[in-house]
Amino acid sequence: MFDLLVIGGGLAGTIAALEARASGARVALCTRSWGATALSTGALDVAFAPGSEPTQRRSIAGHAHAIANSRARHPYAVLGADRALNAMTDGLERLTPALEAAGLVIPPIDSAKPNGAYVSSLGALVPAATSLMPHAWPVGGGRLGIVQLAGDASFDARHIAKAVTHDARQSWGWDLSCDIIAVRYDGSHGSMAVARGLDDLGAAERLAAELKDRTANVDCLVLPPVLGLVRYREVLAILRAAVKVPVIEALAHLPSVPGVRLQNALDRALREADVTILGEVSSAETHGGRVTAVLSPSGERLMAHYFVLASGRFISGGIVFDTKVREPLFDLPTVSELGLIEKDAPQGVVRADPRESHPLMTAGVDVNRTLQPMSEGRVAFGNLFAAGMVIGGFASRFALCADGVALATGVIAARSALGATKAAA
Amino acid sequence: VLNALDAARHGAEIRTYTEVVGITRDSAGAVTGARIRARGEATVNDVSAKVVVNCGGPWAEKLAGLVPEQTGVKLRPGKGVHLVYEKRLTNFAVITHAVDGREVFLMPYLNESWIGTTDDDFYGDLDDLSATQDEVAYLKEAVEHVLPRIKSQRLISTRIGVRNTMHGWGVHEDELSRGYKILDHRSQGVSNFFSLVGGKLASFRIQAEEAADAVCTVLKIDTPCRTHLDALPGGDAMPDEVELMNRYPVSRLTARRLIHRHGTIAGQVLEIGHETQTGYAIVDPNEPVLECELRYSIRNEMVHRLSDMPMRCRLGMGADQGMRGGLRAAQIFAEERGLDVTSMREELMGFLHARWRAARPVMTGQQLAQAELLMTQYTGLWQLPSLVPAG
Repeated sequence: MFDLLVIGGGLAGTIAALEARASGARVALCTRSWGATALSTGALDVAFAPGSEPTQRRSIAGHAHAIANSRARHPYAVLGADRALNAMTDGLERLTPALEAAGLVIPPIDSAKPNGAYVSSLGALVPAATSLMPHAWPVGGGRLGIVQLAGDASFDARHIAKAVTHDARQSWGWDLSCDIIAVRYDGSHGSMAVARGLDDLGAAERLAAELKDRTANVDCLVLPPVLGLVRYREVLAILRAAVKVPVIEALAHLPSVPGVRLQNALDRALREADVTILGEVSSAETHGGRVTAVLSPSGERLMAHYFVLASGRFISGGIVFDTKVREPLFDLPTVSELGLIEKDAPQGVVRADPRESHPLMTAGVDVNRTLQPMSEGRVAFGNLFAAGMVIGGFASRFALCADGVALATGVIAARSALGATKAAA
Repeated sequence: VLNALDAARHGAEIRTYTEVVGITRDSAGAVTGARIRARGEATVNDVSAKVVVNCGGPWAEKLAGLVPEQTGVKLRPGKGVHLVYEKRLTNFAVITHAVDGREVFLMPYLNESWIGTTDDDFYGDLDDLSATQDEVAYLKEAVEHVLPRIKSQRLISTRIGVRNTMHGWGVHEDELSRGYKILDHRSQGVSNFFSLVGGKLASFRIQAEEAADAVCTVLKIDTPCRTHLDALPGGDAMPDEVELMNRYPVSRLTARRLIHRHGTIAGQVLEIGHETQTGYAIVDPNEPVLECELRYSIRNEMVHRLSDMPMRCRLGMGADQGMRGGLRAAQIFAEERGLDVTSMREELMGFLHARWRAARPVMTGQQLAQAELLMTQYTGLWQLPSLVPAG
């Protein structure tokens, strides 16, 4: 019998599991497949509320408070912005050992500072709180050398250069100029294929040789996010040894090599913390206002004192919309940022212009300050907590907050559960 | 598109995104031309013509209204909705009945399956069409009644049209005539003005031939019609897909699809691929659509906005609704047209908007997960100040 069973192996679920392990609890985590975490761009979004200029100079804490003040159901409002920011820091700390072992670093979130500016493969300079280093670094002013691998249609250096120069001026108020550094490349195309190709360090050496004497006029090199899927440490080291300037990766779009690196690092963190990793959960058993077990598809009962639901939103199937919007494991009521979702067709909850805020895209379970899902104004199950995107009331794209919410709610869900454990013991 | 290109090849001047806002007349009341305004501009220009023909389809009544004395152009617009499944579920058309006894079809179309259609009197805005919850549920119910397992298939989009049916009072939509008329408004004191009313897409060519005959009588032109004899552009012969596949670095499927869309012009399309290092790269795996085809289309097929591209090469028509192809297509469009960053982003958003609008009525199940994925893909762009909608 476990102390805590976490459902979902993305960032929120993993953080909840690690937080619980840190206080000695016996923890199991059930995961069926990768979800949105594996699609991460390489940056971590904590808080960026678009609106009045100069938003880019506002501190991350300032953004978090602005979000909490303007969106009443956002987790930052429900939890309190400062409490959420503090919890995020603790959450990242739990990850640090496993990340370091994987050759990765996520620097702490300094919420007194503004968001950093990151080059995105989408062709934009985007804000983010911190990132998966040593690959993704924020940029300042100066001259960037953007690398074009010959024949690579998924990363067009010229477009990215134009966009980044434009955004630097418009949104950040800097002068940023870019050179295009075209290099020969004869491997397979597509970001995953290129990254796998560079895992062959001979290919990485050849790329390094191409870049070697081409960086005289630039302050740093920006490459597509393909510098090794598995052997990324070595690939980066080879490139850095060859060129005299910092080498950074742009943030990824889909499919995301950095997302895969992050997810692999999370999986490693769970193993190293002795979290018992199990497979799919397809139903739950409840009795007397408590969850008694969750069941695998074959009917195996998994029992724990406390449960954290971190199953994600639509991408991972933590929330589904067939005849109605529902949470399929515990049949919890779902809310949007506007309140309870009662519509049974998209027209009422999806707007016509994709750029608008769609209530359906904010769907998830309703939670209280201790992250317990609610039903009809009461806590649904005394030993169930929620973390991550399965929580409703917010959409990450309007507040660029997905990772901040995952970290904060992962930590707080685990603490709430363990606090309850201590109280019961 | 092919008909328009053929007309242009024969000397017609095609102006898309241009609205007729008035009909000019002389002192005797005869029509002398039209007043036109390009979309997004304020200036109205006059175009003179010996004859004006109103082929406005569902808008024919509104257009005819620019000549107040005319009568006879009266429509009873009928909205028709189809739902699109992401796969070709059957090679046969399946005919079944809806709850009210109307015939509903499940039809294969390229690599999709369509179910439809509805037929309801439409009084709304012709420029703002969307499938309602009723229409979606009605069609799904009809086909699920005979093919229950179709519930597990994925609906990805909708297609909406409005029939320009001739008016009839006191008759059910399904019983209205699908016939057409060519009205010469001379009998109403308005000479040099014709209207084409009613009809179906299936008979477009013969309708056009008869309308042209009527016009040619006024213009005193006596050349025989050839549109039933001559091939449309690219239709003069059937190229060999294997030969194309061997000559250019493309898969056999790509060659076949290019031949389907461009016929003998496929070779010209593929030649453009030599211009850049990524000319044969797949932009949208759905068809597949290559970079060179996008460029060919932008240069030669009257492409005004990126959102015109789905109509040319099916960009963004697959299950991912432009998630994968949109960004690269916008970059290529921007290059071909010399657009700045903001304009390029607007074009991308316009393209995604059009796909989103069509997909929205069926955005449930897996397609909702796909929509969330699209939101995730473009997160870096949505939040840009220039693109955040006000409010």
